[in-house]
Amino acid sequence: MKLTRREFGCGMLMGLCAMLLMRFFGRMGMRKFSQQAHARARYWSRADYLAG
Amino acid sequence: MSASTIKCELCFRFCQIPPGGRGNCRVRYNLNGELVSLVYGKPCSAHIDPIEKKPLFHFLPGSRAFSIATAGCNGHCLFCQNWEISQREPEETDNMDMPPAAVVENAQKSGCRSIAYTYTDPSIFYEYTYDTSVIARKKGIKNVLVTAGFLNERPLRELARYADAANLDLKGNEEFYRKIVLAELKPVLDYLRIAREEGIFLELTNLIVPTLNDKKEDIEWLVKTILDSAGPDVPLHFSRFFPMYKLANLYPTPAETLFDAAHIAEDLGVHYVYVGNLPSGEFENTRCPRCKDTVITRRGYTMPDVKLVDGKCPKCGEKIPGVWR
Repeated sequence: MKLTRREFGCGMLMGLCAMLLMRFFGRMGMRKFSQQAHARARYWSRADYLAG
Repeated sequence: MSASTIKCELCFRFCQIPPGGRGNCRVRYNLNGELVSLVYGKPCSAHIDPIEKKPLFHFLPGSRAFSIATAGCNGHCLFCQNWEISQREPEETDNMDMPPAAVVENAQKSGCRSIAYTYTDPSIFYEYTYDTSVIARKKGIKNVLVTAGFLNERPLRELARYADAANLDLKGNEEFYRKIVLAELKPVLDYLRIAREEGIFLELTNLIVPTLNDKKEDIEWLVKTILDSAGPDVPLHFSRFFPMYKLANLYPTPAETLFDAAHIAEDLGVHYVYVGNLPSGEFENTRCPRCKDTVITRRGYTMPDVKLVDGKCPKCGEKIPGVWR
């Protein structure tokens, strides 16, 4: 099968768009994932004395 | 500030983190009044490195270290050589899912004798480092910290129970820390003292950055500080800087500067001086401080030729400090 220039260009453009979209949604997913976290950290205290 | 603000007590910065906020390291997060680590079990780097790359020259020479790091750092050196991961949030790096048990398993499978917590500062992924170290110790794998030394005393003493060796970066004098590292010198000197008290085997590294910490007085100050606080037997590595991050305008450290620094350190009495990040000939080898015979020959990261017998010079019997098996 031989691709025309237009078909080849369209294919490349669609591929690029797909990659960008995946990266965008991947980042969003990761941020949400991070905010839901995870291991309780050690060595901290409540700074309640700073209230107000 | 609200009542649920948190004070992180892990490093010298003692960040006060409001709900929804993160510490200076970008990876410790106040989630509804509880501090959580965003990078536990999520390294962004995992490699098998020669232990000499850390650099540790007196610790299991020729062995491999399973090396891990997560995103973030509590230092912000303008010259950071790993800034692509250290000056990023964990959402900006590609992270793996590798809980502590999997790190140890991977280290075992790949024939590594140690796990190195490195590339960024292990203090910021403290819980991950600690839990991995506990499992590694049980399995007979050693733990190595490659650190800038910003961890506070209490967490450091706790971690020291499982840490076998550390390479501590001593970057420069107080002014250098304030202006270039954007941190403080005192916590690093405290780290050095505490690590020695706790029996962690130590080596020190100084990255020489042209025009900023490369003067004769800078090197003399550094060496005298080391001799005062750690004595002459702690191996000292002078490392070559390459233009990076916010100091991309500078040039790589000239070889002569590194060799001059090494000669100054030797003249002032440091027993084991090395030059790294470039082929350095004699300054890659370990020489016996008493008879000057070469006891370990190195060429880059190839397998070193170790002539020591039970950790002693085969010629004169001088004990060479290190962990040799």
